[in-house]
Amino acid sequence: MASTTLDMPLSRQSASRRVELLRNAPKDSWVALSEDETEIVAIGSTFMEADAIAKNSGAQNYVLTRTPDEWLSRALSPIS
Amino acid sequence: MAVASLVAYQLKYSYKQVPLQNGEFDWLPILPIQVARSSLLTPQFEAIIDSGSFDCLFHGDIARAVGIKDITTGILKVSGGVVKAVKMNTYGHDIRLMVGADNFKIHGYFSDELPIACLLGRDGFFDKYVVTFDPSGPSPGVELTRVHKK
Repeated sequence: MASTTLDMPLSRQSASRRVELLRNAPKDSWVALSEDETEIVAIGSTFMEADAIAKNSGAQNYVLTRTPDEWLSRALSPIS
Repeated sequence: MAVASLVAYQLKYSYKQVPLQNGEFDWLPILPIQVARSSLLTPQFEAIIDSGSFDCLFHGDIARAVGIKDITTGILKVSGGVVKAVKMNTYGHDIRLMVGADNFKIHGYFSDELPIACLLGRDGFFDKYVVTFDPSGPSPGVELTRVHKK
């Protein structure tokens, strides 16, 4: 019997360009990804710095994200 | 008295991949959002939908981008995680959350200790949308149905 993993489409098993970009980006930083997530258009130590660099580069429709200190499988879920 | 609800519209987003250790990766329900306060509006940034989080939590840089120079002027709330003894001071401020074409006022909590940009939690997000996670299919996704409760 085929395993669940083998039955999954390739797209579910394959890491995207996005993963490669984020993994290689500096930790604890803000990264602006292009709309199609195939390139990093800016990196900054603060949100506003990364945004300013992205704007100055002429990029449009980018999305900012933050790289953590370590890429871990985190139990996010803070409880107040 | 019965609660009256009005479903406004639905939004669908694909899960996004994030790196893990040892070359592995995970799929997470990540939305592009913006935050506004007064006349200031952030660019789009990524937020993880997290039903385990009581509040909507933001990195402190997001507050500074909408003019909150000192996040500690907000209401202090200590947030604990699943790991014993790990606590984080968060500070509450009124902001406007922009999700697609939708926007609404929330009380968001900010911390410079948050390792990611944002977690969208129960108070401020899950009370605005019926959230349906479907990580099982070939295209994992999350569906948001905006509900206005009276």
